[in-house]
Amino acid sequence: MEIDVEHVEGPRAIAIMKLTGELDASCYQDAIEQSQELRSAGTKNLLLDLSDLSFMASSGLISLYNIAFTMRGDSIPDGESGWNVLHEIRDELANTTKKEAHLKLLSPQPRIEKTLKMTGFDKLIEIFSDRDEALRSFS
Amino acid sequence: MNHFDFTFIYEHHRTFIAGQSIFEAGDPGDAMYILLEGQIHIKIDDLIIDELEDGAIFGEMALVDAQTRSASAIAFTDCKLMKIDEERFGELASQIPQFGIAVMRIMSERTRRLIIEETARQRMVQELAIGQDIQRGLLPEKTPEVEGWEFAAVYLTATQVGGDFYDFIVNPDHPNNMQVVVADVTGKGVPAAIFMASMRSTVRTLAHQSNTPADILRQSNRAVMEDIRTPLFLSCLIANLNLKTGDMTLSNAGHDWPLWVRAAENVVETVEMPGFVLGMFKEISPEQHQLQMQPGDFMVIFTDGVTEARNSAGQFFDDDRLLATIQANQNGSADELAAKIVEDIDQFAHGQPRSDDLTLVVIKRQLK
Repeated sequence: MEIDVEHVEGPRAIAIMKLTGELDASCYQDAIEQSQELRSAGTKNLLLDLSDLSFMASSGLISLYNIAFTMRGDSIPDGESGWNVLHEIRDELANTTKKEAHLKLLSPQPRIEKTLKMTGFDKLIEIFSDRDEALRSFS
Repeated sequence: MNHFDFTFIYEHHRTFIAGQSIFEAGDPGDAMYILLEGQIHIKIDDLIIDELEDGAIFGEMALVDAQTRSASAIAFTDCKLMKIDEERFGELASQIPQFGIAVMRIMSERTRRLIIEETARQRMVQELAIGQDIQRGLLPEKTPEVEGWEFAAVYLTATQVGGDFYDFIVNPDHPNNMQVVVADVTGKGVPAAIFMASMRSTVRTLAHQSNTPADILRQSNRAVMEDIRTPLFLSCLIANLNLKTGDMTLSNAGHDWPLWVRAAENVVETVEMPGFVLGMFKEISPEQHQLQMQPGDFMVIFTDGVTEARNSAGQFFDDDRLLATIQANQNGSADELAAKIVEDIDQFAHGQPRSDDLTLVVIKRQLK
């Protein structure tokens, strides 16, 4: 999988991260790390362009999930000590309305859109088919 | 230990910067190297098989047996090396017996270590095989035999141990009700298998307490949230089947939607049931879906290993092919349909190795 990043000029610090190829167990961590780097470098809002992503394995869901709370500004806790924190973040994430969210998705292919719908991710992360509309949606 | 001082050999010193390749697997083995300063990683694909420091020699194997390089050598830090080509190697070996003995000693040490590592690896393979047996033991030994119904199940793992499971659970106090479970843990291998074993017990216990499918999922989700130490998700579909009436109550946690063959109408319906996978949120409220299986109807429940099976061109078996297979084989038995689906997948994949576990459960209500 290739990851390309484009920064959008403006006050809302938006970056567009385009994933090309296949998101699976061999690279799901790369996408998370890239989002962490962007976040530490000041990106506040991330539009994940999935238009050229041809396949997303179940491990891809872990990427989306972790990127969603990375973009909220939360670090991903590891190990047992951080586990309760992780649970709290999960609950908060569920309570964040999609409009306030810092991660949005652009143009997933039908197969991936179906996976997002089946697993409930479409309720968690807003999906757009128009890039400009997606960019305008970040508050 | 090697006490031979290789550094006295006068040879031109070469420097490599960190990250630079000294040789690659497949290259001709035309020289050996003495590492004077720095660290070298010996790699096969992306796996580091050895880490070498000052004073080590490497690359001698290909020089002695005249084969190509079996591994790559990469400078991990900036390095200073001495390269001894075949001719020089021959000279040194014949002129300085200690040199030949020192090289042989290093090769022996390496071989000895490989034997020990290989033994450990064999042991691990054996343990994995035992793990596989135990895991197979967690799956139903055979499918249920109930008058008026047929049940078929297929379970094929991509690695030695899998993260899928299926179950048919009947509470002896309510013999007319059967809970059919199909689930898939995100990820593969040992972590997924251990998680699968634990979740299988949780679901089984809850099903035995005659909970509804939605309750089983809700409470299993709590168990996932309380217990697990690694962020694994589980997709799970539960169908509660009344064996007398054919009434089925389904609930779904992010699992592939099952396919319902309605024989009388001659249609195959996707039972669409979106729902969060288990392990995402502290509380979930899965919906329930009711339907009634009529005589001749099938319910096909499967994991994504079915639709995501691929051929060498990278194409997926996909929903359409699965639908076509089901449509063309809806007059046979549950076993025949399951076998046909697997046959079509294998034919499509054409020897391409399975990348994910594949589980398939077929339920048929027999014609009267």
